[in-house]
Amino acid sequence: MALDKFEITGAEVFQKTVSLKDLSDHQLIEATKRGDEAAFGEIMRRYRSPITNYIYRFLNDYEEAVDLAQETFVRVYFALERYHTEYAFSTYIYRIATNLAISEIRKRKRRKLISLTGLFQFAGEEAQDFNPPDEKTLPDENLIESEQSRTIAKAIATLPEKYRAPIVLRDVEGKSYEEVAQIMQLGLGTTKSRISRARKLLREKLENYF
Amino acid sequence: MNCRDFLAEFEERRDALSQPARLHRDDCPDCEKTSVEQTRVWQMIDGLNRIDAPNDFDFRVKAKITGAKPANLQSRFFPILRYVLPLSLIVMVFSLLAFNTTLFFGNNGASQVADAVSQTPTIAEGPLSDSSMPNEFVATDNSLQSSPGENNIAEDSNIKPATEERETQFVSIKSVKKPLTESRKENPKDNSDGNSRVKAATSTTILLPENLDANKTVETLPNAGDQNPITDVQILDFIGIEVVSENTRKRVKAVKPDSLAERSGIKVGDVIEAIDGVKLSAQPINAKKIEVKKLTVARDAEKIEITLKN
Repeated sequence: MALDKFEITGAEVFQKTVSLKDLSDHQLIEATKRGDEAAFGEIMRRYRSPITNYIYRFLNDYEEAVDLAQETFVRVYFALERYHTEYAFSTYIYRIATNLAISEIRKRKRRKLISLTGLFQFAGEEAQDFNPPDEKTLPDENLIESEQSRTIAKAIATLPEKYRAPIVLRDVEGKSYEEVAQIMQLGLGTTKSRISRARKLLREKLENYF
Repeated sequence: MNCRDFLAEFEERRDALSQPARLHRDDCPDCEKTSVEQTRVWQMIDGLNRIDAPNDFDFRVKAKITGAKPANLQSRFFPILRYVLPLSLIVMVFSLLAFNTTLFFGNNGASQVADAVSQTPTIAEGPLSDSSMPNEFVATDNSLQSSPGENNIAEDSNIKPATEERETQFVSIKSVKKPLTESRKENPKDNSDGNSRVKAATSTTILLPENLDANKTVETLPNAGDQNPITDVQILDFIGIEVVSENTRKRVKAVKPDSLAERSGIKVGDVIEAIDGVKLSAQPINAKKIEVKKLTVARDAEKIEITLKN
């Protein structure tokens, strides 16, 4: 068999690239199910940074955020057969990322690190999660944040778990209330209530900046 | 508009407030403070840099997918293996047991049951047949319908080595003893059981003294060419002696009227020690022909030899 039959011309590659970019998320998923690895590559290209950013704002730990973002895509890949198109793919992938991030937070809690904070906790104070800030410098110079940015990031990362995901999705990622409710699998009223409560907690944490 | 409605609208619309909301904010110091602070928080959040994924993100994801494939397959098949493997193991063990049981009962059954009969007092206590034993013996064949315990196992004529018989003896006795005993309890006067024990050894020819009545001499049986084990107890039963086991000794419990034993002078209470000079044994005898001429008997602390006579 002649090998030239398998050669792909530059025009074909361009056409294929363009066509992948034009496809919707669901079309890319269907193509991936048929074995098109390039389609899954396009899904990764679309969501790798938003998911990494979302988890980073959730955990305030870059290495862990990248690791969990990759794990998110691995889980998406192996769960493609079970994926139903009744929800938006973005909702689906954010839900997986949220679950992984929450699992990571609970894993940290089980490590009993919270007991260290308990030593310095005064009577009557509400127990807080122990979220050590990521002191490592980010790999890219563009990612170096100002003092103000580090403060707000730390304030978000120290919010209680049930308030953290909704406010990051709403105020950082810019999702609508409906999308947040779907990702969190909560009612719309509960979602709005939690976001409102999270904003109030943030205002209290950042009162020195007003 | 009250403060609650204002906050609800403010949190949803941010700067795109309605006219009533703006008026309320201007009039309410608390709501104005809240809106200022929240706007500042939003500005801080908006000032956060977007974090990008590293350049090798796709490569690492693909590497994880490739590395995770075997584990995924394993986890997919694990529930099946978890239940199927133990089940198949159990089925194999039961099949093996069933096969062995069939093998033992199929090949060694007759000899083991005969041995069990000779060693079990409850079986030896059964009444002898009223009819003429030799004639009954001649007339019978291999169909052992009168004894359910022996019925399944006496048909096979294959002879196994003595070592195998010893190994399986305990199992055979236990399995056979119950139905035999039960059948006797149900029909204590049934004579067929006494004959059936003799019938178990139908393929062996027993030669009695030449001067005996021809009608009471066993010469040929349907499958006399085969070798089936026969025990000493069965030989004694054949000539009209019912014995009871006392440890290793066989004491005469009853002598059948008008039998060869009675005519020869065997009495109740005698201890049969040997047949033709060979000491009694629990082991079955594998022989085509067994010649019975005399019995060695212990009577009143004396050892006498009784020659069988017509």
